[in-house]
Amino acid sequence: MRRAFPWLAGLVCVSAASAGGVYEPVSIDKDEWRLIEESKDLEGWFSSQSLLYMEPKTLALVRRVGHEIRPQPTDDYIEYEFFVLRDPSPNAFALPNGHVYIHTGMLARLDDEDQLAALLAHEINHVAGHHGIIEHRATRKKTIAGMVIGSLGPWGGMISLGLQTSIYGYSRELEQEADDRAIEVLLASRYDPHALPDVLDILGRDYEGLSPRTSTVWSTHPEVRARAETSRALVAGVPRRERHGDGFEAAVMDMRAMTIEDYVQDDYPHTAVALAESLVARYPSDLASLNLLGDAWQGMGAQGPLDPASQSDSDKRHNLRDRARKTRAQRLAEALETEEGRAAYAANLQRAEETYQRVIAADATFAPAYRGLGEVYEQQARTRDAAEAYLNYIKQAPAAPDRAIVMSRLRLLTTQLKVGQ
Amino acid sequence: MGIKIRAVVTLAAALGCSTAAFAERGFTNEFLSGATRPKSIALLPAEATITRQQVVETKGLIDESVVFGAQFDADVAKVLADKGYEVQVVDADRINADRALQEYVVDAKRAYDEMIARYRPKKLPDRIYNAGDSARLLASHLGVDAIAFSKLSITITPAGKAIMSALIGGTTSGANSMIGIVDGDTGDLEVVQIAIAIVAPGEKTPEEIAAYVATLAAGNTKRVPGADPSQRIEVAVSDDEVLDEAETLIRE
Repeated sequence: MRRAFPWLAGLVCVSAASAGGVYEPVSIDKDEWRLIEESKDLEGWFSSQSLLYMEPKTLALVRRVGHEIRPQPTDDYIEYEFFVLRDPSPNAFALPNGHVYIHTGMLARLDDEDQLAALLAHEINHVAGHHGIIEHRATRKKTIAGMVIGSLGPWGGMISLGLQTSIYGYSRELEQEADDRAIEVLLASRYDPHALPDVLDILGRDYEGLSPRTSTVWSTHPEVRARAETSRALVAGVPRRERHGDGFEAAVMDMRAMTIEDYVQDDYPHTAVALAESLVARYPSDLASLNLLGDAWQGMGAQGPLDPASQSDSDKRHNLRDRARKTRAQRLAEALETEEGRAAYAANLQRAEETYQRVIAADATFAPAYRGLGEVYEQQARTRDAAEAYLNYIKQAPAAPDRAIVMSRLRLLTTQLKVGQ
Repeated sequence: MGIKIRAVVTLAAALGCSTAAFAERGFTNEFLSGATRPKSIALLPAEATITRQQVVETKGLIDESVVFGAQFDADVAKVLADKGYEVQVVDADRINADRALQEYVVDAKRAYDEMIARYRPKKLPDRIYNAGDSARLLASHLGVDAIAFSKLSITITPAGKAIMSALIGGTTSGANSMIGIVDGDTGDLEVVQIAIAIVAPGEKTPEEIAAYVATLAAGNTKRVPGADPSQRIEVAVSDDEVLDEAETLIRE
C-alpha cells in the first residue's frame, strides 16, 4: 500500500534544494536555543490564556494522526507534539521545537482525517526542514530598520521574530516546499495525497468578502488558490485512496458546532451559514445542527447574499475598514436605513424562524429552538410571541446555563406586555 | 514672549475646564451614579506581554509574562477589594479545570476583544459597546455582577536600541495597561481605565519590572469609585413571579 513515487520524490528534492530547507540535523547556537525555549514556553502561555482546546476526542484525533505521519526527529531539540487552539480563525502553525498548533476554526472546515493529515504533514515539514531556524538566520542578516516590526497579531509583541515567522508564514519558497513534501509524506502513509489540494481549496473560500484579518499562510489569500493548483498538478497522476471519515466526524462533531457558534458570535455570519448548511446536509436528522443553522441565519442580520468572487480587493478593504470602525449594532442600524437592508433583515429572520419551527416540529422538547425563536420574535417586535417562546425555553430547560439571560429578557417583555406595547 | 504667556494661560484654562470631564472619562454615567456599579467583580487573567527589544531582534519573555500577569491581577484585586468590592480572581488553573468555564471565558474574551478594538472614549457614555451574551453567561456562571478584563504590556529597550529607535524609528521602552469592566446583567461596557508608565532605557531586573506592574495596577484602579451597593439597581421580582405573570399575560 505504501507505494513510492520516484518522480515525485525527485521533484520534491529539487524543490527542497532551491528553497533551502534542511532535512538533516542542524546544530543551533545559543541564541537560537532561545527560540526553542520560547517555543516550549508558548504552550504555557496559551494555557494561561485558556486557549488550549482539551476536548479529549478531538485532541486524541489530532495527536494520533500527527504522530502517525511525523518523521523521526533529526535533532534533540525537536520533539513533535500536536495541540488544538481554541480560535475560530482558520490557521495552523508549527514551531521550531516540533510543536504544531491547529486552530479549531481550521479543524472545523475539514471533511475527513486525510485532510487533517495533509494539513499536519505541511506543518510537520516546516519543523523537519528547520524552516523556523532558517528564516530566523535570514532575518538576522537584514537591516535593523527592517527588524523593527510592529505588532503582528495578538502574540506578535511577545514572541521572537523566529517564532513570529513560524506563526505568520514563511517565504513563498518554503511554503511551497512544505506543500511538496507534505505530498510525499501522504504518499508514504495510508492517507490520500489528493487531500492536500482539497484543504487548500477549502481555505481559499472567502465567505465574508473580507481581506484577511491577519495574513497567515492558511488564511484566505490568492496564494492559497495558486498553491492548490500547484499541489493538484503534483498529485494528478496519483490514484485516489479511500478517505477516512467516520472516526473523524465523531471526534470533531462537537467542535464543529462550537465553531459555528463562534462565527455567529464573532459576526462572521456567511461563514456560519455555509458551515451550518454543510453540517445539515451531512446530518439532516440532527436537530442540533438544524438549530445551529437557525442561529446562523439569525446572525446574518441585515446582510444579503454575498458573492466574494464579484468583489474587488478595494471592496474587501472597505468592508474590513467598516467592520473595524463600527460595532455590530451600528452596522445593523445603518443597514436598516436602506430598503435593501430591511428586506435582507426580514428575509434572514424569516429563514431563521422557519428553521427553528422545523426543529420544534420534529421535537417539541428541543429547548434551544425556543430561545432562538424568542430572539427572532423580539427582533420582529412580536412581544407576546417572544415572551411565549422564552417561557417555553425555561420550561424545557429550567436549569439552562443561560437562564439568567433569558429571564432578564422575559422580565422586560412582561413589562412591555403589561403596559400594552 | 506675550504670545507664549497667552498660550500658556489658554492651555491652563483649557486644562482647568476639562479637568472635570477628564475625571469622568472612562466611566459610564450609570457606573458613576452607582446604578450599574457592581458589588462583585470577577477578574479574568490579564493578557500580559513582556518584551525585551534587542538591537537586532525582539526577545519575548513568555514565562515572565505569565508571572507578571498574575502579579498584576493580584495587585488589581487588592485595590478593588480595599474599595469594598467582592473580588473573584479567576486564575488559569481554575479556568482550565472547568471545561464549561473555559468555554465561557474564551468566548467572553473574544467578544471583549472585538468590542474594545472599536472603543472610542467619547462614545462610552452612549452605551454603544456591548460584549454580548457571552459576557453575561460568564458572569452568571461565576455568580458575579461584573467581569473585569485586562491587558498589560511592558517593553524594555536597551540604551543602544533606544538610540537607534530615536534615529530611524522603532519601538521604544514603555509600559501600559488597560482594564475594562463589563456589566454582567447587560453585557454593557461600563469602565475603561488606561494606565501608562515611563520605562527608562536599559535592562531591567525582575524587581524593577514588578514595580512597573504595581504602578500600572495602581493607575488602572485609582479612579474607580468605591463599591456602593445602596445605589445599585437590583431586580426585585423573583423568577417564579415573572414566569407566572408571563403565563397569564400570554393567555389573555
